Amino acid sequence: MTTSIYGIGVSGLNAAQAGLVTTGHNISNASTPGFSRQRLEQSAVQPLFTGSGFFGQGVQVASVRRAYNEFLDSQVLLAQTQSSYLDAYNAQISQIDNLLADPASGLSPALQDFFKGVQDVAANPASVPSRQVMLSSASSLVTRFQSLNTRLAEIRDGVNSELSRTTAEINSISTQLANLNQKIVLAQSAGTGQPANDLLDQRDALVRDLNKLVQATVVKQNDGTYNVFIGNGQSLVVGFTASQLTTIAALDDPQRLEVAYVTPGGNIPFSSDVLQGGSLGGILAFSSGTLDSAQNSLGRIAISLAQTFNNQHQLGQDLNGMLGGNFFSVPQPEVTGKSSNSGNGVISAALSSASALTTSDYRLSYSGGTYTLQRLSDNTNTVFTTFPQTVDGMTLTLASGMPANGDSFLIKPTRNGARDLGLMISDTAKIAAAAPIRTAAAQANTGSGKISAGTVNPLPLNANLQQPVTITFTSATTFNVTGTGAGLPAMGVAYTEGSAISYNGWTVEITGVPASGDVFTIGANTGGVSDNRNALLLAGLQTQNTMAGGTVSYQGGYSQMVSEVGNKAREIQVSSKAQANLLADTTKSRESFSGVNLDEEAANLIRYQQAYQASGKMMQVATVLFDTLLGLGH
Amino acid sequence: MRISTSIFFEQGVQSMQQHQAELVRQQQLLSSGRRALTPADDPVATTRALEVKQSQALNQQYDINAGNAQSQLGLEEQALKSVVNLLQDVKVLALNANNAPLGNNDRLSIATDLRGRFEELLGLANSTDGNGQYLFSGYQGSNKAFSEVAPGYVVYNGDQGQRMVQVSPSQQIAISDSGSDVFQRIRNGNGNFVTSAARMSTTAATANTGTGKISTVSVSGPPYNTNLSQPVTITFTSPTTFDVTGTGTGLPATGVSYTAGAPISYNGWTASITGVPATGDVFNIAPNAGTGIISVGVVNNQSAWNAATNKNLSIRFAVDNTVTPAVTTYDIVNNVTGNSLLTGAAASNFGPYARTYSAGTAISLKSQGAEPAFDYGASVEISGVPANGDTFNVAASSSTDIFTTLSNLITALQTPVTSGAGTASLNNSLNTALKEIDNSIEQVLTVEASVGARLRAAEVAQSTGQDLALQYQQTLSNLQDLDYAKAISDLNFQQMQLDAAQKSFMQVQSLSLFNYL
Repeated sequence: MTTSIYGIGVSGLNAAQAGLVTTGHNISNASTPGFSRQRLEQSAVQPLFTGSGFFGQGVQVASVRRAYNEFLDSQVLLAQTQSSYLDAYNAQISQIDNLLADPASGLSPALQDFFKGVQDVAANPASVPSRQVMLSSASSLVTRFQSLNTRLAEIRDGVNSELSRTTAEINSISTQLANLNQKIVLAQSAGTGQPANDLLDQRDALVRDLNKLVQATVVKQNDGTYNVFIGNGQSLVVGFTASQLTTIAALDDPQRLEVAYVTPGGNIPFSSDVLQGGSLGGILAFSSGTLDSAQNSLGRIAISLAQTFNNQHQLGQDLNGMLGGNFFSVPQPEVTGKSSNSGNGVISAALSSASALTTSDYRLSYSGGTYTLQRLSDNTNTVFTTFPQTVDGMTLTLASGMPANGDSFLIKPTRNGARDLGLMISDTAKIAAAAPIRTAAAQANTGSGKISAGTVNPLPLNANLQQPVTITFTSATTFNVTGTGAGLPAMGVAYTEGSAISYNGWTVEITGVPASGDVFTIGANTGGVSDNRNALLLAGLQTQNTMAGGTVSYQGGYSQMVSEVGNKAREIQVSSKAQANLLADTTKSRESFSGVNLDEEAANLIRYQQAYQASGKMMQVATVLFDTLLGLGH
Repeated sequence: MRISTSIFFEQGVQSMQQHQAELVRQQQLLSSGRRALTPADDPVATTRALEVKQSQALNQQYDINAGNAQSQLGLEEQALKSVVNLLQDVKVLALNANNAPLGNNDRLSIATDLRGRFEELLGLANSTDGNGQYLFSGYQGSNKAFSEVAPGYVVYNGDQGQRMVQVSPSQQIAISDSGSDVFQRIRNGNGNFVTSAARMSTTAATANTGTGKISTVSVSGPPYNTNLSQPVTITFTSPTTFDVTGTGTGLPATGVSYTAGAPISYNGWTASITGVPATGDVFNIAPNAGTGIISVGVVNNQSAWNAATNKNLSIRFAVDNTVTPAVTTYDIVNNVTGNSLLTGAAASNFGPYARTYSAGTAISLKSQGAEPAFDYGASVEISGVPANGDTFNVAASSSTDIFTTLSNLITALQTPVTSGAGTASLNNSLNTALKEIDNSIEQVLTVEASVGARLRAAEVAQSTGQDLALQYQQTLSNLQDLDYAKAISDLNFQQMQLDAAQKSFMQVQSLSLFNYL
């Protein structure tokens, strides 16, 4: 009996010691990230049957288990991956947001200064200093476009290096996970099926770290290993082996890095929207969602400005009496054939109408004799079989060769707009402030007819634009038009007051009551240095809705871009905050289940201490009992 | 609920960090004075502010433009005022020349005075703005607007362009007027038609035996041929040849071959002879010899005048001296068809004509009695005593220019008056000149009024723009500027929150069971 008292005492002593050890472990790991508190699972030992019934045999420690709840943990994983996604997106987009934040450094002030320069020329068309101001402000506008674009390009470089860095980190984590799988299997088989709590905690912490980088799903295997999958089911870790990811230049866009899955047969790129969640997903979404569209928007403003300004400038006449040339160089669309294309077709794209441009990129694919042009922003397809084709303001042609089935081309009409914008004029005299034609009513006219100053029709310019043309009234209601040009001479044209008379690419109106024999002339504006008609029209472009199908002005286009970035940044900021709260909540739930509470541990410490003391006391009692027995013989 | 100790610490730290971040942000807002630091803070207001700023910048530009327009128009108005003053002086001088019983020398001195005014006028017409651009040369601001290419003959080197300035989004104001509009496009005569004594009238000698007829002359100019007024005689030496005698280039000409209706041109005039002249027939081309003075005329039926065609008439006189008192008759010739309006037949070189002249009685340019129907809706008066063959012209008004008017006036005054005919010619010239000076003044005043109206428009645009600027400022301030009172109270509140978070953290974290072990 005494031995069993001893035995029970020892078992209690052991259990209390184990409890103290576990409590100590908990206390010392109270601030270890990913640590789940451990508790002792103890039970009564099989009782001893005697005739008097069952006598307890003491306590035994069944196991040390961690407080782990798979449901709570998976909640944290989900919240974590989403939160990291938003944080990464937020970190990137706030760079653009900050770039556009300073009212003095954005595009607006440069744009306004430039048009102020144009207005200055309109006010003093013959003044060389005014013209110099316009050229200088044009040059700083071009620089502003380029510097904004450079900043966006830097952000793109940052995105690429971030992708490489993240991919390397994922690879490191997946290798560690595979190692831990192995360690856990070994440990648990050695420990006769007892859970390797701390290793499990480490592995769960790694899974959480992985989810910070990319959304990953975990499938727990019967042998205790985790299989980890990313994207739409690509295995990252299976059992003891980890797969590797890498970054490669996109096949159809050498400037863009893509995440690829390394297989013995070569690298297989993930399509861009497959990798979601985590900072990797955030960066990819930022790159394709905000960065591309911001850079395209900026490019579109540059292209529209260049083309519309050039078009009007060419309708004017410079200080030397020559017709206006191109003021800006107009950036052209960029076409890249996929490097895996098997055909030798070369597609070229040229700008046709800036007002029809969108901010999207396009993918042209060829299959079985038909071409499909996909607008990537909304996946609208245009299908055609022949070239040239004009879609959304650009004209596509097959420059040479012939594509093979499955070949594709990436077309970026506006991406480099801001980068490639340039100033074509450096000579102040070359600013075409004047109109190339002027009109006159003959001095001898007896009627009250008046001729308007005349306007030049839109491009293309008529070769006979500046040919002298004479309108002679043969009666109060008819006139003859003589001169060189298509449709000339025209005899007996009916006169309607104020209606447009258009020949040789100009349009004039005659009002009033001309008399028979009255003569009006239209001819070259020789020496018209004080004429500012074209400068006024150029200045008018500032407020004209020339972009997006004639719905917004340059400034409007920029506002749209700022608004898009601002709204997206705000959306991401708000979501990011909300998601951070959600993450904090789920983490709190998980922690309240798994985390260490020091007061609780202090209580346990006292409990196990007392249990130890009690067990010790029991052994003392057993000793006294034993001594009593021994003393009986004396 | 269990609280994990690490979460307790983490949360405490997190909330303090959050409060700190808010404090820093609030401090940034306060130090920048802006309501939104980045577009994300308020995308709508940021975008709207961008647009308002463009409108504001444009508005500022329009303000500058309107200022420019005002100074330009001010310069032009000043020049035009001087022109009007000058023309009024000229008018006084012309009236003096007309009224007073002056001698040739007096008129010469007036002419000299006028010549001075002429040059002054030319100077005004060539006024420049602050940039050295000529005000009145249209688009060709670097070209001198007017230059005197021959004595008294001024040509316009500019064009009819008007320089415009944008003073509001929807309004352009013309800041110049072309020299041709100000100085040249002046209706001569009474605005509908112009009357004049023919510079040269034609007569066929009464002794002519052939059927040859001479037309009225047309004169080219200005500038006029210096020998224009020299009398010229055409004498037929055979039915197919004639001699021309008189003073002038190519004169005398002998044995000129005759083609019916072919133009005969000397000394800047052109006439033609039709029919079959006989040998010895004589035609004279000479200035009016009588003292007839034609009035500027009036239109009494405007619609009839407007509807009439061939508004180029000559009134030709014939004097029958064979009776006493002599009977003066006149014909009205349509110069376009060469027919007499009164008979409908080809105009005759010989009187008597269908209508009898009585001095100072209106000559109606409308058919009367049995005459073939015609109606010009107008009448002119001729006073004095026209001589045989004297011709007066009535033609639709066209444009003349101030310089020509002045130079004609000067020429008329410089021409010595030696006869009644000379006086008549002078009077005719003075009448024309006075009327045209009036027309010029009217024209310049019209332009000046238009300049004044544009000046006002520029002022209105500017003051509207200034009101707008205030509104833009207000809108921008609402969109961008920080509400300091609110921001400071927010700052205090956030400070308090951080303070509370720190204090409570310190107190709560000190509660640990371990303290009692």
